Amino acid sequence: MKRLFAGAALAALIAQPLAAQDADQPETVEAGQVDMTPLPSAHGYEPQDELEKGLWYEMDEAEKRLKESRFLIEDPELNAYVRSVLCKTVGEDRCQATRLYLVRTPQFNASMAPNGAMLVYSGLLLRMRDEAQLAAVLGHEFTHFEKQHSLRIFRSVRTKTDIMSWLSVLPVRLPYAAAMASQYALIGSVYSFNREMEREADAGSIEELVEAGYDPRAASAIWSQLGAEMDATARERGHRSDKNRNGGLFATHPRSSDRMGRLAVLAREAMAEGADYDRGAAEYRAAIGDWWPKLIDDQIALKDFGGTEYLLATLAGDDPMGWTGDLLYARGELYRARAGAGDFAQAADFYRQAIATGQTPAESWRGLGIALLRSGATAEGQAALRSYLDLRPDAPDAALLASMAGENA
Amino acid sequence: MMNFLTKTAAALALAGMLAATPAHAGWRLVEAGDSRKVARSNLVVTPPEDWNRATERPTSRSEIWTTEGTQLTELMFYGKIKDGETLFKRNQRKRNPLPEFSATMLPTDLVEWYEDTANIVLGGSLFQIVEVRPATLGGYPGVHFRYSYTGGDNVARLGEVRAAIIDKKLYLISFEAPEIHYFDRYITGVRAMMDGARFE
Repeated sequence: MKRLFAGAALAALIAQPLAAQDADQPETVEAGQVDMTPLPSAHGYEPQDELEKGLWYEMDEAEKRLKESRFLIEDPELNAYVRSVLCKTVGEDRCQATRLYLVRTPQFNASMAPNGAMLVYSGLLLRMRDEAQLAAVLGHEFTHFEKQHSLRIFRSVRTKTDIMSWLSVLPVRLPYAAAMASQYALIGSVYSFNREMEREADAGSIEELVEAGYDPRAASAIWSQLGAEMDATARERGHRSDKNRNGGLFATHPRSSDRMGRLAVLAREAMAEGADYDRGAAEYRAAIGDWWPKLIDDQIALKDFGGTEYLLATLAGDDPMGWTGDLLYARGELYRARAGAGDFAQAADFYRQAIATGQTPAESWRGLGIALLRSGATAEGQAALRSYLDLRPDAPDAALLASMAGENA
Repeated sequence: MMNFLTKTAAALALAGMLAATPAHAGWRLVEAGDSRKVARSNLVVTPPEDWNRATERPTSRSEIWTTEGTQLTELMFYGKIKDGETLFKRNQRKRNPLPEFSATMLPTDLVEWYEDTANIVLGGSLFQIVEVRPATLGGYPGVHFRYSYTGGDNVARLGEVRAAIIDKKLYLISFEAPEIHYFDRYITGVRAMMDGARFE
């Protein structure tokens, strides 16, 4: 048990998550107090002392285990795309120091360990509207890595005699997600940086964005989207918004609203007059395209009605014409799953709209059929189920649906 | 904190995630051929081989059996789950609400409800429904489905569920075990138990 706690202590210190949970402030380490040369992103960089060697050893072991995880997204095209955005953002040379891992999990997060292992959660990919936003997150995490923020925190903690008392203020608030997260707890664990470190990472990401030709305003847009999503989740569930509570991305210090403002100012200052900055929205959509239905399914499965409803609206670009067949289908699924008063009729409506676009998953028929059956429109519902079975005769639940459609299966 | 570590350090099967049997739970032998009422209901099952039942209940409406420890074989019985109730104990009522059972659910809804519960409990998405078919439980029409998932211990598991809504209450039997060896070793006997279940 003792060993376990030691490992967990380390885990909590090491990785550099984007959206670390909780606002408890563990240890303050001043930015810039540690000698910065050589940079860990430099070619052939080696750990500098025993402590850093030990840290790397642990991280390398954790990375080996991560490679075995069934939660890794192996799709070479998607991996290549995210990597290309990282390399475009920080430059080909520095990005060589990074090994990228895409993890299938609906939470919004990304992290980078001190040995150069970067984890990007699929929930983040779902939420980014364009390439510039993805670049902003990757640039932010890369700056934490290059400035060795986690190593500095680790050094300061080593001076503490009572590690358990330190542990008690560690930010750990992984709810039911714990089981899955434990697979990469060590290498991608949640941790909140202090204010100076976040500022450094924010400033770093703006520089990288401008350098790479991306629109630096993307950075503040991410925080405002995520804040609004957290508000929406909290409203529906009747608890206080986590927006001002989380560390990391939504660090209590600096408060997220200050931070958004400061990012916007930094962006304005960094932009050269008359220069053209790229958002890469079309490129991003094309790259994520095949994965999108799976990622939205993962999100809907979380049963976060408020947050997901907000997310779908932002993905539609707050534009009635932006509601694609996929988005309408997802909205139907969301309402059907909530199963409240009027939700089945509403869901049926969204499925119908989805089908009318001519580009929607066949599952829209399935959802329509079940929603109609639940709202009492039996004949119509059965007809919709038969349409689905015509399209997907090999569906896993074909036999059951056939019996519900009144066919003798 | 400690709780968190203890929980994640263990390899966890689905029901064990939330409905973990307390460490001090005792186990009693259920002998092959021995008919028993389960989950404080009138549902009676007859195991074709020896099983062990926990003396502590995960919730007042459920009961857990195993042969090799719950990480390796986990047989759950749920009885008389009423409208508005959840499959597992509600630990995080507000921030991670579990989906509630509704007596008006269709068989497909039951499957989705189970899947949704699992997804919330597991916090992830590698849960997959493999096959769904109509079936009966104790003579009442219901549903039988199979699923696969990988939990925090990175072990691939298979599970099968038989469920039916009877007089507005849900009765459900679930079995899950690692895909390697354990699932195949026990599933035939479990299916026989599901098929032979009756109400007294």
